[in-house]
Amino acid sequence: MLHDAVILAGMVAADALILAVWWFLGSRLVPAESSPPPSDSPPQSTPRLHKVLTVFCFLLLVGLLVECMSMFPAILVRFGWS
Amino acid sequence: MVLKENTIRNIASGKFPPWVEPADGWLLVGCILSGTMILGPIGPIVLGIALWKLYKSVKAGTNVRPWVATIIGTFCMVDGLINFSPWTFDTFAHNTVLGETFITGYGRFFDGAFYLNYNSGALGGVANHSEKMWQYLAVFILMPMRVVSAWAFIQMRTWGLHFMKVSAWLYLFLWVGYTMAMSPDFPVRMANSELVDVQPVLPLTGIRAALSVHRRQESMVPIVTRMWR
Repeated sequence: MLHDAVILAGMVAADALILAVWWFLGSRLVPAESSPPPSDSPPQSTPRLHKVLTVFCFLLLVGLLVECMSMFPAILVRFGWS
Repeated sequence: MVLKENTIRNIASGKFPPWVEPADGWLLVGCILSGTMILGPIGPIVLGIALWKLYKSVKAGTNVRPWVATIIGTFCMVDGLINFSPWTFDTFAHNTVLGETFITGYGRFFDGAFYLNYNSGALGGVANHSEKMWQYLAVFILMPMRVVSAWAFIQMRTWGLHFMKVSAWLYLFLWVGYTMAMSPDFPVRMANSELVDVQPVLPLTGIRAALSVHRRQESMVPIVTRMWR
C-alpha cells in the first residue's frame, strides 16, 4: 500500500510538472491573438451558429461528465480490484 | 456588454486577479476531479456547482467571460484531462493496484490492448508498441498542451486562444494517426469500437469554436476578444 502511495504521489507530481512546463512555455512562447478590427456597426444579435455550437458543446460536455462519473464505478462493479 | 468591475480593477491596479470569474476556482477543481476519472463520481458535482454559479452571473449580467467561452473551454479542458489522466496512470503508475484496476478494466470494457499482456513489455503498462508511442506523445506533448491552453482560454489570455487553435489541429493529427494505428489490430482491440464514439468531433469542434470566437465580428465576441488579456 505504501509502495503504491509513493508511486501515485510521484505520478501526481510528474503530472503537475508537465502541466507547469507547458504553461511556462505557452505563456512565454505562444504569440497573442490580435484583436479583430473594431466594427462601426452596432452589435447584432448572437448568430445562430454560436447558439448551436454552445448547445452542442454543452451536450458533449454532459456526455463526458456521464463518462467520468460512471467509468470507474462500472469497472469496480463489473471486474473488482485487480 | 460593458467592461465589468473585474476588468476595470485589473486596469487600475495593473494586476490580474487570480480568476476571471469568482467561481473559476470551483470550475478548476471540478474539471480536475472529473478529468481524473478515478474521482469522477464527485468531480461533476463540483463542476455543476461552478457552472450553476457562472450561469447565475451570466443571467445577472455580472459576468466578465461570456457563457459560450465558459462552455467551450470547460468542454475542451475536461476532454484534455480525461485523455491525459488515464494515460499518465498507464505511463507512471501501471504497477499500482489502482492503476492496473482502472486501465485493465477499461481494456476489458473497450480496448483489448489495455488488457492483453498488460505490464509485460519493457516499459510496463500497455504492451502494444504503437499504443505506447501515441501514449507518450499524448502524455508529454498534446494533452498537457490541450489542458493548459483550455485553462488559459477560460482565463481569457490571448495566448490561450492561439494555443487552443494549435492544440486543436494537433488533436486532429493525433486522432487520425491513432485510429490508423488501431486499425491493423482491429480484431484484438476494437471489439467495442472507439471509432464510432464522440472523439472524431472533438478536435473539429475545438477548431471551429476557436475560429468562431476569433473571427466573429458580431455580438459579444469582438468585445470579448478585445478584453482577452
